[in-house]
Amino acid sequence: MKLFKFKTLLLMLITSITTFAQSELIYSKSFDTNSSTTAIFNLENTTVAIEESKDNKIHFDYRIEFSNYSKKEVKSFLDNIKVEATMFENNITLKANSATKVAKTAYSLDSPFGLTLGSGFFKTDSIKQKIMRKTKDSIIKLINNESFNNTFLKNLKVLDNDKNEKPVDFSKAKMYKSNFVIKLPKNVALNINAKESQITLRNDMTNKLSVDLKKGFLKAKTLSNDYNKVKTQNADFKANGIVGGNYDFINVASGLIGSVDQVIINSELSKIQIGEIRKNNLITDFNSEYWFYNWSSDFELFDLYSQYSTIHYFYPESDYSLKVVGNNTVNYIGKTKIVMQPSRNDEKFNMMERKVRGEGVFAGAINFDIVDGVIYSYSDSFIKNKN
Amino acid sequence: MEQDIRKLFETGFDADKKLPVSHRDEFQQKLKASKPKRKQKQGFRNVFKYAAAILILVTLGYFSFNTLTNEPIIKESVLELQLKEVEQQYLENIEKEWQNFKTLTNDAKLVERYEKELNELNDDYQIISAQFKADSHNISIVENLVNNLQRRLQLLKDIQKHIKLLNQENGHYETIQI
Repeated sequence: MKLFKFKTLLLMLITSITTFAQSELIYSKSFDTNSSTTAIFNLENTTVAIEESKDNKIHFDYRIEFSNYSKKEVKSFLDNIKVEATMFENNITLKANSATKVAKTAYSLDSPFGLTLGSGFFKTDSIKQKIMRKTKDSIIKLINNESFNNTFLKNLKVLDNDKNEKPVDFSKAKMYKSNFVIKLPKNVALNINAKESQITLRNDMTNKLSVDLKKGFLKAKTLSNDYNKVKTQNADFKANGIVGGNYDFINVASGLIGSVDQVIINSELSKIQIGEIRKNNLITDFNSEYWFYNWSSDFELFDLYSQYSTIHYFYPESDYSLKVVGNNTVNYIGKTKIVMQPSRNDEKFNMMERKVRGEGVFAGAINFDIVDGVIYSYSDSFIKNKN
Repeated sequence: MEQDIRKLFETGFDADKKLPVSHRDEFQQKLKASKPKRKQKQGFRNVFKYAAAILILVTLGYFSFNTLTNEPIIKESVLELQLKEVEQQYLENIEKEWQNFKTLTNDAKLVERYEKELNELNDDYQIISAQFKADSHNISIVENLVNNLQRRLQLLKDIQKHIKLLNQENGHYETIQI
């Protein structure tokens, strides 16, 4: 009996050694700044959140919280992370990288009989959803929805010794949460060069911003600066609003923008939903899918130049003019399908026009120059959906 | 100081001299008095013994436990095999859709652009595969692998759907007024 007690105690001791939760401080440093300071962040396999600093200093604070990892595993994980910030001639340079991807939250699973993914996950046919007008607020709500909605993890199953699929108990899985917070004063220009990184800008920003992101995501509140230059490639982009600047979206599988205002966008192979189009915007696109849900009452001018693009276009509420020039384009107006085949010599022609009606406020002119495109015009009566 | 031991016997040494009566009691008292000391020493020795035993057992337990939990042979194989199978299915579908796409369009520039994009995604896939080999427990890497394959297939399906819509007949050339 005594021997049994001893063994039980020992087993508990072993378990408590191998599974525990701990928070590790990876890096912490602060720098003074002034109005001419530039911050340069070179990131790879890193997750960062950038907030506004109230004390005119840049603060770096990088912590990772581990659950159910052994000390040895934590050490091995931390050994792969390299972080260093330096200051030289008013430029503050941060280098942060890891040998493997450090996501915001990640799980590592052990299972004696294996793991499997539910067959539903691998369905290649996407579910056809009815396209409805979305409000700007509903787009912003989607952007800021932090709820757990990972279809991959939901489909992940553990196998028992009879090969039966069972749900994963994530509370027992190895899990880490990365929390790298950078506080940046409003007057500091920011350059980000990032690869496989998850970047969240937690406050509205007026800082001059230059971003080049390959893989990962960029999530922001409102970005306002005429000199902003943002390029995302194979990465998701989500912003409550963008005001001024140039944006390049290449292969952005999930683009959500609350509103665009005086913005120049170049895009290709992307899917981008825009909640509201405000003043003077220009989009040049190759083979993307766009949703233009709403138009402000003073959008003034909107130009789209595109090839092989699919456009979901919802009418503005106020009076407006529309001109569609181009070639070889299919146009769906409500349930009516109109095919405009290639003209001789592939010349562009005036395919569709709506003149100003002179009723109420004139909101602006919409010009589509579209070749090999598909336009879906939705003649809804501004029914606000529940989203 | 040298002495002849034989003389000692002759002069004073009494071989028949008896021990005092209290000798046994005195000896037992001395023995009792020395007991606490010896007991204390033995106690420490036992603590060290148990500590050493626990340490050895804990170490053995720790390593055997870790060895068990890190054993990849059976645990990993199901997901890895499944991923291999899924990868094979996806790659076959991607190749099939790629061939369909090429027969569907005459636009060489479009084909060239897609080829470039698909090659870039394939290069990415090789990098993620290498990461998976190094860290096959990491679920976000598995997710990246599957997303990459899904993205390639989706791109090809979308462009074909687009081209099929464009290739429809009964065209108009006049301007539509709305």
